Amino acid sequence: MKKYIYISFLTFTFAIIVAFLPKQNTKKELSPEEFLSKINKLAKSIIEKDPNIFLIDLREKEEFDKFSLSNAVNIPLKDLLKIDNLDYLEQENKKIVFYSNGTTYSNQAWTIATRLNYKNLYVLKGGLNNWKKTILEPEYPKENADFKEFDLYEFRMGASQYFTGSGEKEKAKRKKKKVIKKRKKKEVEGGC
Amino acid sequence: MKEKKYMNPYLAGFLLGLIMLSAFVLTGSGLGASGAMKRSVISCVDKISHEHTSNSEFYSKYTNKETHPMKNKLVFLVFGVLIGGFISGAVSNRLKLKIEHSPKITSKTRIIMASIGGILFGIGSQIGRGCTSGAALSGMATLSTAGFISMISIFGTGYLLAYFFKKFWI
Amino acid sequence: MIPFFSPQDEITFVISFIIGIAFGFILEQAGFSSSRKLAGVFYGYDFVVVRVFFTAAITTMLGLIFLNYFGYLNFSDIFINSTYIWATAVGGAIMGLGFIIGGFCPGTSVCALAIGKIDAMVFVAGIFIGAFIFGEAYPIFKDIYIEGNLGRILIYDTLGISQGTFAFSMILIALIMFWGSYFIQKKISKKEMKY
Repeated sequence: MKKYIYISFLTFTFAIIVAFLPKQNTKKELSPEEFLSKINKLAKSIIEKDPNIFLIDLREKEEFDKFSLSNAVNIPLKDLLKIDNLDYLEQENKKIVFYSNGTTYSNQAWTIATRLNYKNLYVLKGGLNNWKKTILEPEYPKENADFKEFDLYEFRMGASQYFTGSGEKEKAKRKKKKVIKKRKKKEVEGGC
Repeated sequence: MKEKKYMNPYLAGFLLGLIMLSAFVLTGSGLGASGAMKRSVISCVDKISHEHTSNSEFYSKYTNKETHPMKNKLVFLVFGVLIGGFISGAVSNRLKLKIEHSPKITSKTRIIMASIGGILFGIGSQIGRGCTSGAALSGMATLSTAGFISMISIFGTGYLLAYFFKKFWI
Repeated sequence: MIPFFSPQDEITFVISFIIGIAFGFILEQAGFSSSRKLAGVFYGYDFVVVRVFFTAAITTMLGLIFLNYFGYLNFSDIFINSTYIWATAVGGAIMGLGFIIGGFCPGTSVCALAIGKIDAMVFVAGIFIGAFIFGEAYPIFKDIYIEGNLGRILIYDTLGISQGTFAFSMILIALIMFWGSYFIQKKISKKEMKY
């Protein structure tokens, strides 16, 4: 009996804590931004030909023919709701990633498809423009940046090569910088 | 040997909650039982006549896929429930073939009632997209509207009709 | 990131199996393998269903909310069942009828079957038949089955309140129910039979 009173109070305390949890954290479940996929992760998945990713290009056909991400399927936004195209959204166990030049189209497509109750939908963060900027022309991290950023850069350079077939020129520069990175690492290790 | 007492319901509920939470954390979805039964039925029907399942709008959703309908985690979960229940029964000395019923009814009545109840539950859980554990319990835990509607609907109907079935239980 | 394993991984099957064992064990230990104990909730002589059910729901809910708050889990990454308002309500009503007549639900019947309850075996067979009837008569049920799809909506959005307020009310209601059940059970078991 006494035990239950204690437990009741404890549970009640939890209830109060939950009631006053700040809102911005609870709100995010429904906002489309939360569904945006991480750009680097996606690039990695594409390079590794991850079969769990299904890319849908929402731009017009002409643009799609000029440049597109590998393995993507072209469905212009206005044709998204055609029966044949809706079949593409029925991908069990696959992540469907929408992309266009910016994010307007892809966000629209995401919203429409989500309303229609399709699952596992994602939007390419920043669209192709951002993709080109970060993956195809990555910025070299600052000298004092931490290892994570260097790794990221390495990866992006690799990705860039994969997508454009270029990057030979950059290679030399990268190798040289790599030495600095290693030295830095040693210093840190010694310090520990 | 005497049967052991049942666990404190709140403790059991708390542990069940932790199990369900780990199910969400590890596999991304909660608990469920009726899904496994649906898939067993579908694979049986598919075995007997694949043509029939391919033509049916309902069956074909499960059979016209690369993966076998039984290759689903809910099926494994229910096999686990079977084993877990058996272990618990063995630990608490409750393993015994019997028909449990109110003294006011015969075993035969109880069996008939159980089969009717089972059929209703089979149909109801398919229409409602999940049973008490899948739709109501896991649904409530994730705060989905469906979970609450399901819970209110199941228990509401139960309470409404309880009066008419009183003699079957007490 | 949570969930750790995707549904198509082989390891997920193993994990699900282990979770199932734990689930079945707890159900049986709580007494869910007895149909008369389960049905007791409708007559006020045994509230084990309500107690276990709500304690479990609240534990998981709090766990999910806190994991979400600390950024380990995103509600969009876990399975939330879609709300088909009519299908859920009608299906629930049929299940409610099945519950009061049969005295089990699918999970508990499997558990009771495991310890040798013959009525549970019949009940499970009934579920298979029921699912088969649904499959065969799908065109009849189809309208109600697919109508009124509101998507993956959450209860507090439906009610138009914040998540915190809802969780708080739910815990409060559960606590009131727990204490209420305590007093009702005390009263009824004093007045009526010991089964």
